[in-house]
Amino acid sequence: MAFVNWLKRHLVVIAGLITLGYLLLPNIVVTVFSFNKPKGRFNYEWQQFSLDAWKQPCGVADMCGSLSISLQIATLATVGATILGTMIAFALVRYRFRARGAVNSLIFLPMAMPEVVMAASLLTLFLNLGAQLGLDDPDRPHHVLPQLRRGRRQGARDVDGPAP
Amino acid sequence: MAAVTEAPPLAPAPEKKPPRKRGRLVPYWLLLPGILWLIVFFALPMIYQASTSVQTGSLEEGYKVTWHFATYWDALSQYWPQFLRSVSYAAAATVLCLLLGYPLAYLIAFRAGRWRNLIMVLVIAPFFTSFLIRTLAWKTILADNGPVVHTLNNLHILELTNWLGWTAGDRVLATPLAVVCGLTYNFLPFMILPLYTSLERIDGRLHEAAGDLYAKPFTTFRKVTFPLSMPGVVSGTLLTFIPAAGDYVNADLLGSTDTRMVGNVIQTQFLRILDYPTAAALSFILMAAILVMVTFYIRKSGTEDLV
Repeated sequence: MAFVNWLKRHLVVIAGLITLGYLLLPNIVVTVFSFNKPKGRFNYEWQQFSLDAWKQPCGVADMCGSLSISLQIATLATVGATILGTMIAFALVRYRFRARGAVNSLIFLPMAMPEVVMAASLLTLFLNLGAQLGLDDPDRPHHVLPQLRRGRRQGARDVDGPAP
Repeated sequence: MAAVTEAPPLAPAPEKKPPRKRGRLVPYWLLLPGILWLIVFFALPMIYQASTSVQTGSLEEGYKVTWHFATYWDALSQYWPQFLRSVSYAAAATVLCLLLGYPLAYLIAFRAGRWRNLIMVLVIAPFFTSFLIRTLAWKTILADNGPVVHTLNNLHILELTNWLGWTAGDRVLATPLAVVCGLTYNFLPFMILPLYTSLERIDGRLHEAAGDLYAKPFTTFRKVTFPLSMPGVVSGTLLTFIPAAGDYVNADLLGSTDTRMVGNVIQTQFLRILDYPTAAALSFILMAAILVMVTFYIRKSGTEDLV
């Protein structure tokens, strides 16, 4: 009976921890399998412990070069989205103006768009312009921006008290 | 109910700022760069795509706008099973995310105490690895002779899921169950974070008050906590359902040809078959379907404001 009571009281904690386990399981698997010595090309089955994969982090062709490009794009996207998003959030929370509704829906629309649609339309744009896809991937801030705006909006609202 | 006693005294209501009179153009100047960005990288591509969807022609001869709206009808009649599948997988994943995410968000908001920050970090930690790698890890976890499938088999759960049509034979991989599990996993943080934001704002003393009025814990949850967390539920479900409906990575890596979602079809049409008009039409149908569902949902849930 005592156990049942204990279980009842901690049900939320147990359920929450199970979810946390579900979230972390793949990361644990990835970490464990980074010490694996795969037989063939695929690293799906455990063979034996080895540090091979960790010895040459730049061993795979282009690995470190790609990493630096990823970081560059991520930094650019973050800075861009922060600046644009904060400005929009400020305008929307602190001011009342006529185009507010229109701006709100223009910002919501990209969020309501599945990524594959967004990527497909950007691809169409570039195909039509005949442009080559290069380092400068403008797709990223575009996705981050609406999300960020929401965070900012929340923040700005906290400062300002409850918004109408 | 440990958090209740620790609740800080009510902060004095913030003073209202006087309305601004000067600078009527200021908001427009603030909006200008962001809106320009959205026009160039969102509105313009959309217009291009709309025009692509009504073009006919071939890759060699080039495409021309011929207002060929039949593409939409053809795409829909050919790919409606994938549409249906996308919506049902995304809905299943959203419900699972809510069921799994709510307890964790509640735990972080009310019961975690000094562990709160650590658990928050652990929720965000998966993002530090590429989601492709994490999805591939599910291939290992759900492998045919792995411990998960063995356990499910021994507990006769697979028989039940087979009967429901979620799995086939002794496998979990390459079945709808695997795809829904992958979707749930990948979008779970997007559910937990807005839920947490909403729950965290609830004054712990409301729980205390409900208890004083003889509400049992479950009644308190049903009448106080859950209604107050509705904004988080709505934005969490939207942030899960919308990307899940368009997702193609999970169906690609964890599914089979029988679990193809509409995202897979769009991706194949665009990149492999190079049938741009059909791909564009499919994209627009998906977008319209999601907009209709989202609008309906927001109206129904009565939360006009999304955050």
